[in-house]
Amino acid sequence: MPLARLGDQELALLTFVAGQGGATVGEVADQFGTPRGWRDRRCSR
Amino acid sequence: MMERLRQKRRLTRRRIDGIYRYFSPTSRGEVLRDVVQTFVEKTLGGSVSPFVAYLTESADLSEAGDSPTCSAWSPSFVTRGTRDDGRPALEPCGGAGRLVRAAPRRVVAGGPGRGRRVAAVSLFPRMPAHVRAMLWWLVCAKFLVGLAWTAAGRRAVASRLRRARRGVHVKRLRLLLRPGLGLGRRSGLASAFGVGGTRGVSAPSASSGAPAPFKDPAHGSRCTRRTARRRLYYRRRWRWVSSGSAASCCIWR
Repeated sequence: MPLARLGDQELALLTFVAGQGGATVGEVADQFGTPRGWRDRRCSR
Repeated sequence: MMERLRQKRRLTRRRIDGIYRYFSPTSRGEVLRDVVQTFVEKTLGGSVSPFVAYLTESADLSEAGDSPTCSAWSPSFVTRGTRDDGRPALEPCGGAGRLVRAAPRRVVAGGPGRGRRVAAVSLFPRMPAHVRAMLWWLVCAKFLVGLAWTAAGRRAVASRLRRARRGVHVKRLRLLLRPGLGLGRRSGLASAFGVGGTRGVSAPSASSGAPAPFKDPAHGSRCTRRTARRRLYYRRRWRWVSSGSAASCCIWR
């Protein structure tokens, strides 16, 4: 079964996780999301 | 988004100390290679020509060695000066660069005429890509010819051996018809039935007890002229196949 295609942000995130060798959601949010300006919706309320 | 990637089977997760940790089942290089393959197959229709054309036309290329992405797992291209028509001269760097630049030199260093070809590559370091590619294909062709030649040579040697064995049988029959024939270990009858003597093309000389008349210059041992020729044949074929194998290993390294 072929794998689904990836979007730009999905590809960037997947590359980051593959480069880290594994990451939790918190680590991804801190090291990957914050530098790109991603904010948690719960914090923005 | 990480859960979406996990549903797409791009990520897996394991619970470690009560926290889910996400892993990629493939390495970073494999991820990028998969993405490039998908792009080439689905967007470019399986042809990399548009991509290469884009690279040759693009002026936003970094100088050699300045690119941080110039590594073994992310092959890239850099500019080295400009061409006659003003467009940047493109040269591969990183993994592709090492492969493209080093392979022809190492490839041509494997054959019998390696001196001339190494000198050609050394004297012309800015040899055009199509000339290097031609050298590359020449080495590949040599490898294939060496393999085919060896297979054909084996068949030829096998047929010659069969003919030679038929000749030996005729000689054995003549020995049988010789008057005063004995049954000793070195006798013609023993040789005719393959007992006591060496079988094969050298059987008559070995069974007669006389030393082989020819001295193989490579081995320094006495043998028949036919054996020396056969040894020389296999030495030459082995040189072809070994150099071709080394060249192909260098290409696909």
